[in-house]
Amino acid sequence: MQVWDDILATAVVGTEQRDLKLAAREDELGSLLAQIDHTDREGTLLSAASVLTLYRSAGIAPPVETHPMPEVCYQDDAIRGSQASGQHLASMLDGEFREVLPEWLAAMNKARQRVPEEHLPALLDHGRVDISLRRMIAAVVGERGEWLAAQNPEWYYAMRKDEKDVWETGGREERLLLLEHLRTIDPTKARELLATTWPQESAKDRVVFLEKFATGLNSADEPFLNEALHDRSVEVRRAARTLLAGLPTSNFSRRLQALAHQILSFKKPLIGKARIEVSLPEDPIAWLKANDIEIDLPPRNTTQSVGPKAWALKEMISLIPVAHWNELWKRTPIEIIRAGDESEWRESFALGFVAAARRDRDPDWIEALVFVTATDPKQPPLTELVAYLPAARLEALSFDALKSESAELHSALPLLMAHRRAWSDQLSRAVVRSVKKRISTANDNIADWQTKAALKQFARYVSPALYDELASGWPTESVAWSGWSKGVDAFQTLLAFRRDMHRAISEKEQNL
Amino acid sequence: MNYSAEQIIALAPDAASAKAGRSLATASKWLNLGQDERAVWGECQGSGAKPYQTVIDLNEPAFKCSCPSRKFPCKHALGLFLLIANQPSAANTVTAPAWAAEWLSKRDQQAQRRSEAAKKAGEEPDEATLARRASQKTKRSLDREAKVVAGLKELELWLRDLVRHGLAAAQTRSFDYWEQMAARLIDAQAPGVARRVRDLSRLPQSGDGWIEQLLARVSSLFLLLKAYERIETLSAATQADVRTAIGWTYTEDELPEENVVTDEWHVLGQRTTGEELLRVRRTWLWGKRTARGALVLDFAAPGQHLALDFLPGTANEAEVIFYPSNYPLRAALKKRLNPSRSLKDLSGYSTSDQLLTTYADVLALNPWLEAIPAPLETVVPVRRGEQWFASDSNGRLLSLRSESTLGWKLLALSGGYPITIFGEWNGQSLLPISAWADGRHVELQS
Repeated sequence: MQVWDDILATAVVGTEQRDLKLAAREDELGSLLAQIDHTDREGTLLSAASVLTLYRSAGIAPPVETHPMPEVCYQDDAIRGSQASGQHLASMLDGEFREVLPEWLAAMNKARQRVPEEHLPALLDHGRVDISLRRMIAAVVGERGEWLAAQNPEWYYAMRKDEKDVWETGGREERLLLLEHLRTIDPTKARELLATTWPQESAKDRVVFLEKFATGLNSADEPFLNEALHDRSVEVRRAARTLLAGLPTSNFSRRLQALAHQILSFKKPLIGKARIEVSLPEDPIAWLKANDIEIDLPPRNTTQSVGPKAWALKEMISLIPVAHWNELWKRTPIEIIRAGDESEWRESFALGFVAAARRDRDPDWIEALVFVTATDPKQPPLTELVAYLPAARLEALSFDALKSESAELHSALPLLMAHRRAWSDQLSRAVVRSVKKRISTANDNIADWQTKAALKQFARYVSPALYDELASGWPTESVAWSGWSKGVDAFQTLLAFRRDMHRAISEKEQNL
Repeated sequence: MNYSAEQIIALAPDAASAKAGRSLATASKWLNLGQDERAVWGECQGSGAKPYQTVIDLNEPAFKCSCPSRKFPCKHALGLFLLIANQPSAANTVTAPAWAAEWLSKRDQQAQRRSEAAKKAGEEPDEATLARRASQKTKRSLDREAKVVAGLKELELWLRDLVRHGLAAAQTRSFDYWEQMAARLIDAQAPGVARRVRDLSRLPQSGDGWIEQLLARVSSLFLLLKAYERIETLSAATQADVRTAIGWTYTEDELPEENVVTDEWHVLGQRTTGEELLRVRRTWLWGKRTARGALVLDFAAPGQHLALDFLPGTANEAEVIFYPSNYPLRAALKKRLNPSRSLKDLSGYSTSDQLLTTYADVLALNPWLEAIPAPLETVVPVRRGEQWFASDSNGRLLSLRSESTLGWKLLALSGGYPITIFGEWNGQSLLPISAWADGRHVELQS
């Protein structure tokens, strides 16, 4: 607009430099501007500017959309989570009770509820940083979340995508997550996907990808693993060996088993303890190599020198399924472990059995190893192995430990700390009962930091449905209470939050 | 119970209180929970020996807690409120304990006294008192008038000086250049003009188009000075607008009775500004029958709490009294006629044309008005580059003044479908305050 441009041009340089001349206009604006006293330079500028500013504001016309509108989002069959659920999510994203976010996401997914729309951007943002939660987040954002993710490259992870696409174009982290996920739902598909790019992957990537095969490992993987057994990278060969060792019927495992039979035998004399007898060849590494079995070489430059024989035996034992020994010798794991202990190669047996039991996640062997080491003061306890036990076994073991020494919570602590899954009502009750007992029988308020730290973790796994029972009846009169009240309060608060969070989800379900 | 968790969170004086309130919103933290039709109460175990007693009058809502916190509402009140909103069954319906009943009846008495006082105020005091009051008032207002005249004179010289040297030079001015003029206007008891001058200071650094912006604001100030010069020639309503823009304020009891409007007032949204010294809460209302907006301002100095008359997303049958203006917008709650209920949907402008036509009409009535309420039906949020817009049913793009997360939130609520967005329209862009989508109200500024 000419007249505005004139006014602006004068305003920029100042009336000292440039006089504002208003051209006559025939319209109403012109007659209004004509009323201004033109002898007053600054007044003319300011008055004309105020008139034009209003004139322009009143006539503002917003631009017309020229881009096509984005495709609308599909309607979602899943129901929207309740407002209370939204509040719970907002709290967690705010940083409060964030440790239970995975539990919330899983519960929402199980109930087939989707995150209320207004919370989607914050949740999708959270997944940018917390990669481990991405799959769970993608499962609850619904059609709306996916629709949003398609419009924001930072949220791409929440889109349903072609797996081949992700595999070929994704970053390392993303590809690993995909492979891991596929191994749980369709191991063959995962293997075939990896095979398409196998030769182009770096040695480092080949190792980490191959290690994911531990999930969903099955005999159909054997040909692929056999090829990897001859990979040019020593780490890839080692990973392939470990995996094949986990397949008792694989050619690799069978050959190794046969070699082991040649050198090992279980001997039970009439008097005295049973023992595993070993007759190793002079150079066992060369002997294995001659039989087309490669093992790691003993580490050099270590202060603790390991002889090549002890080393090779340990390697062999760790590459043979632990269950194989019970079948072969018709003995229980405890008997076998003790017989190994009687051997002159006891170190090799101990280390080999632990490695194999851990790989096979064999509950009988793990329990036996934990039991034997826990009852033998000469050996370091192997409690960390319990993390490899299935939930039901861990649950039963924890329960037994609490029952047998109800006052001594400490013996159950490692089991409970390892039991990072939802606890049964029975176990929840037993644990809380013994914590209460511990507080009420303590005769001073010296901090039992270990139990207190554990209590914080227990709040994440005890059954939230038992809230009323678990949150009440704490020994507030105990002399030790002052040292505990804060911790118990935190326990109750977290448990209450979990109870409310599950309740909000289930109430929404029932209200349908 | 008509309050949603979101509405309750919006009452929190700050984020820390909201967070603390959330963690107290669990039945285990409370003893002796109870409720009746009007109120809810409970006892919360704090760090002290005696539990804190908290009671909420749900009609207003109003809060009372025995804790020493100076936050209002305190975390206990928020926690109790949230608990009852999320889990109404947590409190049994019982008779209120003495401590709760006492407070509630005290509130009734206060309300009674207020209405009596109002009645009394309506009665004529004797003539001598009236005359004395009038003369004191005249003296004070004449003094102020003189100060304002002098202050505005100085401002006019300053403005003339500014345009004589050219606005391009404004970029080289120090912060003090603007601040000193604003300070002198404060001394001259013209706080409205002072704020407008202070607002100029950040324009030169505001990027493209800053000169146009500065010229628009400077010339608007000039228009205000000129209007004040000949104020006696203007209509009473325009006089009020000029005086309000300069910084005169009205007390609620000065407002004429004929400015009362009874309607079902829909609370469109709330926005709180200011942090340390003075918090200002802007509550936007929309009259269902009168189809007009109203702005209720609440102020809270440190240690004070903001009034809690209106909760976003509720409908309130009430008498509201407007401040005098050619386009009355600012209002205060006069009398609540019914407890509030929650609101499922909102009516507003169905096209941007309607909004812009209204805005043009409003400019003609009050050229110094800074924003009007803009409930926009059937708009779709869209993003162009880093900028967010609301696209109306005719494909017109209204610029949204919002940081990116808010834009994404709007997009999430819409899913590409039209939704209702409420915001403040300042003639150029919309500041989104709340949204209605799929029958739900969502506050955006809390």
